[in-house]
Amino acid sequence: MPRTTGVSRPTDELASKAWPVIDGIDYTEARARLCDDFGLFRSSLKRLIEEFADVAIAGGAHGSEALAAYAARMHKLTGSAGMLGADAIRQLAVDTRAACVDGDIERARRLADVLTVHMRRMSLSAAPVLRQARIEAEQASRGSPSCEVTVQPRQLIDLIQLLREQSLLALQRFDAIAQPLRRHLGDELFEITRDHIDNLRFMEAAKAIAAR
Amino acid sequence: MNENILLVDDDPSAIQLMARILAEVGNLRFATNGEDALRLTQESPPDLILLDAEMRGMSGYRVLDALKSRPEMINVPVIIVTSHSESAFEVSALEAGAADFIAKPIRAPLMLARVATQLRLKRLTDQLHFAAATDGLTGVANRRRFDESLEHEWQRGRRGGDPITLLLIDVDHFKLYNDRYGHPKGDSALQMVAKALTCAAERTGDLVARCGGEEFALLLPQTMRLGAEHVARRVLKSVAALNIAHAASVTAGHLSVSIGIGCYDCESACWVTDLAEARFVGDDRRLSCTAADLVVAADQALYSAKRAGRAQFKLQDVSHEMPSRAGKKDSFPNGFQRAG
Repeated sequence: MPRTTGVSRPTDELASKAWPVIDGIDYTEARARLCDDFGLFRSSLKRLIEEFADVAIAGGAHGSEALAAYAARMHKLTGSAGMLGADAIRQLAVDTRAACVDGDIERARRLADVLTVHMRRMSLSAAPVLRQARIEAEQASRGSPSCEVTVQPRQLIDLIQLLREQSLLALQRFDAIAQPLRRHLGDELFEITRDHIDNLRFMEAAKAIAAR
Repeated sequence: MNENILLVDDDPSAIQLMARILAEVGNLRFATNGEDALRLTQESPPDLILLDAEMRGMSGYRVLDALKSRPEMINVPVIIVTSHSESAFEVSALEAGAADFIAKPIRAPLMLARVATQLRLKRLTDQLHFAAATDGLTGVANRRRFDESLEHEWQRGRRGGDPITLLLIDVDHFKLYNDRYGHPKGDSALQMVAKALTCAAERTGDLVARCGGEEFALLLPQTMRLGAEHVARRVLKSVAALNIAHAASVTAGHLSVSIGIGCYDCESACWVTDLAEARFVGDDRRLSCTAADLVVAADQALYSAKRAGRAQFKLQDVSHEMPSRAGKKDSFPNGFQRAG
């Protein structure tokens, strides 16, 4: 499946598809906010679920520093959830942050517990969608077994250069040579590289490719 | 789509969304933390920055502060992008030097419109800056830019213990040329001379400027006398190679130039290797040399070159005993005028 995040346009196939119903997500809103980019929706959802899997406030977190750090985390969740049309989660994050800023630890804790429930529900509901995304991505980069195109040194040099410059064009270049690159790097290193690229850790991706 | 846009946010999803929205607008790079953002702007200053206000580690405000303290970044617009929707936050972002403010969740049409506006303003500002620093006739730097660069490079050279030389270049018998061939031909000749000078100044740090009617300057930072003499020879050769007929010239049958080199290097009497040490020991005589003295030295050398028959160069060291320095505000003592 081609990448639709970053600088490319969503394919007609993905744009016209009905978006899956996921608990807690207003997909009409999400489609509008994400420019109808289903690939971007899936990758952002995956990142949100991984990053905010645990939103409970730890028992010992009473100090102002711990609360400030938690408030910052809630601020980040507000942005990420808002982008995905996860409005209930976004509102809970706003309220939890406000409680932290007010120093009302009891209220913050109660809200964080409710937030935990919402996050779990969304995570469970999204699991099949994310599983399918993984399968499609792997299939796309494997290509057909008969395809024997090899990656050219020039292509590797260009890709590494774009990665080092932190240019978002690297996303398209990576996709364009994904199949031969997988053969060149081997499955394990390719998956590590792809994870770096998906999460915009371009320097690490460049190192991984250059190391091979 | 030549504009470079830097997206700064510690949330990769937000960067990918902005990239998606702005895919057709410019060349996009990104940073996921403040330090990376500053590094990228140093490597290549962008035309616009979209900056998340609240990032882990260095906040967007600190990044903005650091950016606006760098002269080359002052005119680069920064749009703050944040989930904070309070108007006080928006006001403080604008007061901190942000050009605009976009609230999250991002709305694509709004972001596109605001980015387009800032890029249009940046283009206009760049055009204004270029016009204000460029000589309209020849396209080289004008007197204003020369004055700024001279002062800047002089200070930099003194701090770093680096030499600096200045070539003042005068087109020989140019009034006679204009009288004989007319002003349009004269303008065309000046354009060709400017091109020849630009070719002769090979390094990116060298600056060619038109400082008056037929007077040019070539500023060579980190260049000792031998290097400057080499450049001067190249200038003489390049201008001669233009082979512009000048029947009224008593120097040559073609257009020629005279060159005065003002030199400040380790052989100069007022050379300072270590500025801090010179200050510590209170070496006022050497410390009192200024950029204006370099111009005076070059001007005296130019005068010598003309007296010696023109179409040649002479070199003069900077000295703290420059005769015409007292009370001089204008850096060009012998009739150099301000060019447009």
